[in-house]
Amino acid sequence: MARGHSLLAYALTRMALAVPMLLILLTAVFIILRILPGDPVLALWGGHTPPPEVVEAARQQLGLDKPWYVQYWNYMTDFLQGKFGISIGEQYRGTPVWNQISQRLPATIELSIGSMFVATVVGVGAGIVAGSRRDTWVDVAIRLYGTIVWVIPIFWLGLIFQLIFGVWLHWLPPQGRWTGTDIPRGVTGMYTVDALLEGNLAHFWKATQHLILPSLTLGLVLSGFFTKTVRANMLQTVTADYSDAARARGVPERRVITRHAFRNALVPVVTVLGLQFAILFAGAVLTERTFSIEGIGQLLLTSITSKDMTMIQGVVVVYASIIVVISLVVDILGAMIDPRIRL
Amino acid sequence: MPRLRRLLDVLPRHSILGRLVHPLVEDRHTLAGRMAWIGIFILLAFIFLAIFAGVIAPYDPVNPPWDEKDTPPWSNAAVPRNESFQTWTGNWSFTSFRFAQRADGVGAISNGSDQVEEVWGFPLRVLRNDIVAVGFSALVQSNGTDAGHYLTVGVSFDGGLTWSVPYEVRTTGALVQVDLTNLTVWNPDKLAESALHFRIGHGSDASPTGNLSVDYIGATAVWRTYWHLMGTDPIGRDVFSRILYGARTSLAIMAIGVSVALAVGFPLGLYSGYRGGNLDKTLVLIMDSLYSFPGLLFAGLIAVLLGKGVVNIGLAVTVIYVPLYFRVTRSQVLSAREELYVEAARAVGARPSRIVFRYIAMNVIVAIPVIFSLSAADAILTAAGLSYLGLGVEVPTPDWGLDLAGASNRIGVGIWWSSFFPGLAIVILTVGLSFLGEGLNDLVNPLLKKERL
Repeated sequence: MARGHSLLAYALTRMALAVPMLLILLTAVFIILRILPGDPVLALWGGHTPPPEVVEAARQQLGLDKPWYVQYWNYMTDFLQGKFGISIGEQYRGTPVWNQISQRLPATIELSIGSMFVATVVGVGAGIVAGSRRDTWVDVAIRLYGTIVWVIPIFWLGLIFQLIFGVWLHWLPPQGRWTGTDIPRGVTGMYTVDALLEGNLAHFWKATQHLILPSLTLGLVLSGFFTKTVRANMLQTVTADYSDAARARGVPERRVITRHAFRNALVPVVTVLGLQFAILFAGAVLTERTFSIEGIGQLLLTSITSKDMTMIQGVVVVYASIIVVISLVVDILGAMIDPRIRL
Repeated sequence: MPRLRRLLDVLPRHSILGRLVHPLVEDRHTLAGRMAWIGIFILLAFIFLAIFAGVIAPYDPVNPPWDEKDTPPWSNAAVPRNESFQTWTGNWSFTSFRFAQRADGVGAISNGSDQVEEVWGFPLRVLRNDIVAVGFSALVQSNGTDAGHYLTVGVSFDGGLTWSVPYEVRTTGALVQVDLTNLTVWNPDKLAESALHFRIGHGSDASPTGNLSVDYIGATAVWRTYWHLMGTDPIGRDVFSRILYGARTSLAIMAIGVSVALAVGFPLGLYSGYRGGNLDKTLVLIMDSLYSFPGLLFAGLIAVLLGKGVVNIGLAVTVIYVPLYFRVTRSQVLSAREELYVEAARAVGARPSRIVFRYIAMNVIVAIPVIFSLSAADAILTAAGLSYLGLGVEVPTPDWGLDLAGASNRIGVGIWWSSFFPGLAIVILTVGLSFLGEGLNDLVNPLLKKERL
């Protein structure tokens, strides 16, 4: 079978699997939000009686007076058609849910990209060094780093960075995405990209400055996983037959590590990358709160405190969809790099 | 350690406990062994602290008995107070003496040197008998005060019964601080609102008639707070005491969350892995989907709907780890199912339930302590994250994440201790648990051991 054909077949199978995954996640959200608490609107108000207009809006929006299977059908068809509904909370009442989400999404994406960059650079770098110098003190130190950084609370690390670099040293702005009123308004909503599109380098630098601390915080915490995985893979690839063969041919050790061992060590990393995004998004919520970044994590928190059922539902569904898509892309990417997965 | 050896010999090497304990003792000098032992030590230390929090904690973790906000760690911080009087009486004429309560450019004016006003009720609230300095401050206005007229201040610390020699304030236009520290041996009783009285007099060098305008009269006191190991938080609660009690909250949530997840995920994985078939496929798909969703958000949603409280948060945290235990158990079952001893048991006609419980479960259970400690570390992080986001336990409960959230806005003004130490507690406990998990993993996993030889 030709290579392209089998990759396509794998991609199609994987896509077919993504559909039930999305349906399961949507159903889980439905069960948690609608069925478990009895009346979700009452549950959110936690013992207090909600104002009658809130209950009325919820009944209309969510169709709470209908039996659960009708609610389930409406819920599923609405989301699959991209209908997110209208906010019923205290904060954004009357505004379309999708408007709020699309406004907040760029900040989260920007943060995710930034921290993934930090995590990959630091994690892969440390993993290679540790894996190629097995059982030396460098290896032990990096292993300890990988273990410790993985269990550091993100918000705590963020606060320490704020304190050191923002408050004591005044090197970087401790909070927010931007200071001042001249916010770059571009199509993407990501300030760094918008500033570049404007061609304004000063703005780009300012946006980057605001992005550094949050990305560093989240990225370092995530890097622990990459460090461990790359190290474990390097241990195998450094002593693998092809590496020994290269050494036997007289290839210098440095080149064996960078050319032969490193490349092969990266392949398994890609395959487990998908699960990292779940952790990344959970971490992004904490990072957004710590650095006052108005992303969708913050939106979810405000919609929980302002008891906004439709908004909570919308944000959670967006999270679920992004995760399904990303794990799909990552798996296909893995299959492109490593033909063995397709088998 | 001959006695320990003998104890170990009693424990069969291949029993469930023996497979853990023997490597822990034999390989205690390897890196993995050291990590595991450090982890055990840290975990036991935190359990000890949690149990004896009531005995160790120096202060009440919820209701601070003293008003000692933002006290730095490891010090008796000096608290300066400067308060004006609340009550006044006397024959000070022309304008009411209340104009001397605030330094706002409007003064209380007297027009004769016989006029006297007695003021008291300074809300200094000195909480501890470690007073560094006491004094009064006065501001006499330059316009409105005639030449040769000055302010006199007599001080009483027994409610106006006995009076000190009057102090003279002749400076005008600038705030004058007069030191009263050496007047008596001060204690909080002498500085109470009813005890500390000032007698404000109008002194003159020549003509008894003339104006004296007093803009401000206040009492100052500097006292040292109690000594706090880790300082106090923005509400004045002792950080160290709250960390000790917070260990109870964290360990309770962790224990509930991880045990319930184990109780649900392990049997489910066992059954699903052994039976296989369509049920297995469906369960795997569901668990994988749930596993891919951000655990913190999942737990947060459920926590909001379940309501606050330690047990509810523990149950919310459970949701994250059920898929984890399911996956680990199932994959272990899949490999154990093909082992020769299972085959042999089946061949001699053992019932399926016996095969599952006696042969498979007992071998799968060895992998559980590793995953148990790793997920426990994660559960503590999740619980702290939930509290930090305001979705976790309720406000007065001592909880590390909650304390961090409450103190995080003080970072901007450089007050670091009230958020640093709770976070440090989280880090130490989670690092301990993950050391334990990784150490055990290396010790118990025979493949890694072989590799090391």
